[in-house]
Amino acid sequence: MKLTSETIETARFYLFGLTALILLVYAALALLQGTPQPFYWWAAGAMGFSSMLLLVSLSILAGKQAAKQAWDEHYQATSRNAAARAFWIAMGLFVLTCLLPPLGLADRATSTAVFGTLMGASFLLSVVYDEWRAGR
Amino acid sequence: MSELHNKLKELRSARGLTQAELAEAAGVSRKTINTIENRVFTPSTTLALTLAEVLGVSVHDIFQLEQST
Repeated sequence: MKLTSETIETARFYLFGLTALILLVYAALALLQGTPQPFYWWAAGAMGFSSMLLLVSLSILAGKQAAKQAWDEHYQATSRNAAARAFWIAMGLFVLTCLLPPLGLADRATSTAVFGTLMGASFLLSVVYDEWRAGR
Repeated sequence: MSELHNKLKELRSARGLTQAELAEAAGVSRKTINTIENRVFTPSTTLALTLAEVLGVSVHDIFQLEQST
């Protein structure tokens, strides 16, 4: 099977989406169960790290030209837009999760876990959403 | 107010190139070419010059500023 820039782009789309999904599930379960560790705390980090290793490996195996195409200026612009959007989402999440302990909806450790995981998910989902809109 | 229009699709098609072939020649992804053609993404000066070079035309033949009301 020939690895192309499209292979890297497709893998990136699904790996970012899957990592974001794990982060979302972690945050939802933390909130529902009222615990900062609803399942293995390292699961989301391990998924993110594995995704990075897989994407780097694919980029090396596909060759310099394919890697250059996959990580081109359109992806860089998408990533910048997602980071800018995620910043403002994080600001909103910070306020919302700060309100959870005084409202009795979660303790401080749980609200911190929810904030941290949703913050990560917001960037990844922004990238996935923009890539999907751009024609995936 | 000016809007950036482009004739990338017409020029590419006239040369019998697919989006993937133009993308490979310009060193970008097919999606980048697609989003430029659909005016979703505005390329950098470097990429605009690269596309012009690959297609054998000037940047002004591909991109034009048009007045909008």
